[in-house]
Amino acid sequence: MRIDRYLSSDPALRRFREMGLLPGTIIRVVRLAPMGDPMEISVGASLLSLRREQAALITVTAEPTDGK
Amino acid sequence: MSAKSSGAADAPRVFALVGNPNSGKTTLFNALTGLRQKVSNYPGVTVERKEGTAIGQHGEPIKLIDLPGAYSLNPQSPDEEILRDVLLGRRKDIPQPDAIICVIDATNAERHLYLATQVLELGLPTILVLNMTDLAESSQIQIDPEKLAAKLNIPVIPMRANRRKGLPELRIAMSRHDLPASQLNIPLPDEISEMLDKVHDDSTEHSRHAALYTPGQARDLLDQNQEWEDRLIATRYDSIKELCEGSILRNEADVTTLTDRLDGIFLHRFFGWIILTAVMGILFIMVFFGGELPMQGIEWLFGKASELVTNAMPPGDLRDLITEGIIAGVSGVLVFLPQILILFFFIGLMEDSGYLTRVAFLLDRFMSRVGLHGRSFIPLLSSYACAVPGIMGTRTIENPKDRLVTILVAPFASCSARLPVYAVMIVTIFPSETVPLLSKAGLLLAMYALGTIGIFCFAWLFNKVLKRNASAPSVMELPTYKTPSLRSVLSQMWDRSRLFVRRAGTVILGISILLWAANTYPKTPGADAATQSENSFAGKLGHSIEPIVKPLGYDWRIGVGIIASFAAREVFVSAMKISFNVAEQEDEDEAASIVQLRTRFLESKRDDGTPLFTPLTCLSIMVFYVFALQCASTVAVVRRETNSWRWPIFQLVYMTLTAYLAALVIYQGGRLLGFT
Repeated sequence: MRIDRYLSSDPALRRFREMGLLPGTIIRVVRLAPMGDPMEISVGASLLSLRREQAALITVTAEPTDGK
Repeated sequence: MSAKSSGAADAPRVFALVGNPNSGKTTLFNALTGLRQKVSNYPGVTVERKEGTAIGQHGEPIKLIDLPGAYSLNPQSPDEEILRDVLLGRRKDIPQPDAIICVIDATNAERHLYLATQVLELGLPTILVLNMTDLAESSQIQIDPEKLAAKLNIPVIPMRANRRKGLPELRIAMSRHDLPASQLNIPLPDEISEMLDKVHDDSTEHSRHAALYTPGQARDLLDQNQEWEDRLIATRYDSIKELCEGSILRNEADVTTLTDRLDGIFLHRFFGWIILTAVMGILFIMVFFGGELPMQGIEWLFGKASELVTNAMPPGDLRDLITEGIIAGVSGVLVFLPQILILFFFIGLMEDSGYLTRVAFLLDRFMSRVGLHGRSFIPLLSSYACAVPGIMGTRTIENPKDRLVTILVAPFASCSARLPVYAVMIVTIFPSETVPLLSKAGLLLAMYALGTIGIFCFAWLFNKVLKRNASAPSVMELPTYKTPSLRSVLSQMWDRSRLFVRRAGTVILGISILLWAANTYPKTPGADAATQSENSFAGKLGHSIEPIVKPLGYDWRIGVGIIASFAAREVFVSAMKISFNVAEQEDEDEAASIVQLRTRFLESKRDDGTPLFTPLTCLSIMVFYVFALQCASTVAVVRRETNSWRWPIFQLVYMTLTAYLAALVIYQGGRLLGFT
């Protein structure tokens, strides 16, 4: 999926973008932690763990490659 | 004075070591400096300051500052502020370094180059270290360091720091006196450039960069304009892509890396839990029981030393000071070392291999219910063996607030020092041999549960009360798995032990001597141990606090026990033996003297003739010890880890108050319900 935009302008979320989660970037949700939170996503060569609470502030759009 | 002119020229050059967390920076620092390291604190913050001396190609000393790991020069934590301030020369206590070694993980070069390019733009002579090239190769990433070096115009050195490959080349580069500064200057987006021109009309390139990272008008404008900020970040990533073209080639085909496969097991819904439970179980058993034998060894050794002094010196105050104050104190410090070493051996292995963040990932949801982070789990678990190594283990928690909350609640975990107190109280509550073991075990378990409830309630409370650092990032990187380097693990164990002995040890020794004096003076000549104890400062204090502890069901003798064990809980039992005239006999075994103490307890009466050690009183004592911070070593370690007296004093006060209130509720509540 592709990052669309951020729903919050909280400067704390700057770190997400600095770690590569920029609008327009393709990311992939690798897995959820066994208790359903946090989630592991891959962006470029990095694997990042994001709490759902924060992931909810990022909107994404589906990509054709998503289903595989 | 005369040597001054040559002294300035001979002063070793200062290199700063910079890189992302997980870049292998610390492993490289250890490889370069060996044991020539010094660890201290940056004044005013809890960030550790690590410095060491490396040896250059010609045998000349080079000073190396290991700056905290960071993702960006735009700081979002005290660690990152230190990095920015040192590199920009904003700290008075550290001069701007002469040169920089910037470490990046070759398997994740694009992301790590984010910080690296920011650092390169500062215009200081820099060496770029491409670490973990072996892992990059196995992930089918092709690296051409020479091409990257040509593009950046600085030395680029491929390295496998954990195997010490690439070290000679790095030493040669560090000894170069013509080390070039990178000319890298990523053009700013037009609107930001214009804005900077308006805000800083005198701007040079250098001050323009500084303005992007330091508080001020320009930074405020950027914070308010998310689009600008995004464009700034995107521009940097575009330039990084250009830099990597032809120099760091990632195989576009989806390669399943070793990390992917390992995560499939370690983070598996079912196997992940089993492995986690096994690893945590082994860790706990090793810290709890593995430390026992060496600890007994240390105590035996110091016991022998004390015997030796006793035999060699004439009786007197000086002999008592040496045997009961100093030797007992030093032994009381060193006795913690086995557990600290074992815990940091495990933490080192897990941190270095990459598993530690997986533990945090698996447990984050669980811990976040009370506002803690997944990383708080291991320090808290270790605290059930002993809060001292547990609190030292909180340094793996990145967020300063999560770290502080974990430190503040960790001593509620029922540590092994509470066991003797619980044991003697439980046998007093259930004096009959016919009481099933299950009731005793159940009561003991209830004490553990009570401490655990304390941890969760107060963590929740502190999380609400303490302000969250507004810009605390909550994203966590799951690094590539790698074979841990024994050298880094050992180095960390050495560091932690040394710091504990030097910083916390001196405080513990001081308190131990003070308490010995309080229990010994003033002397009552010719009196037995119980009378002597009653007339000492501690005894008088115990007497004077009787009105305070009476509502808890205690008399002055129990008060003395609490005062005497203020520095170490396990002292309670021996203090009680003295107060209740249980003679210490050489050959008598521990169990028999506990039985004797129990008998004395059960015979003891209050002034009004009613029995003193009713089950309710015993329960009240146990509950008090669940919550009270009766441990000088913990206080000393918290002082060292938070770099101030403020938090240990706060902790001592709130935990003692909690203990008092809880014991009060148990005793008075129990009486209201008709128990005795």
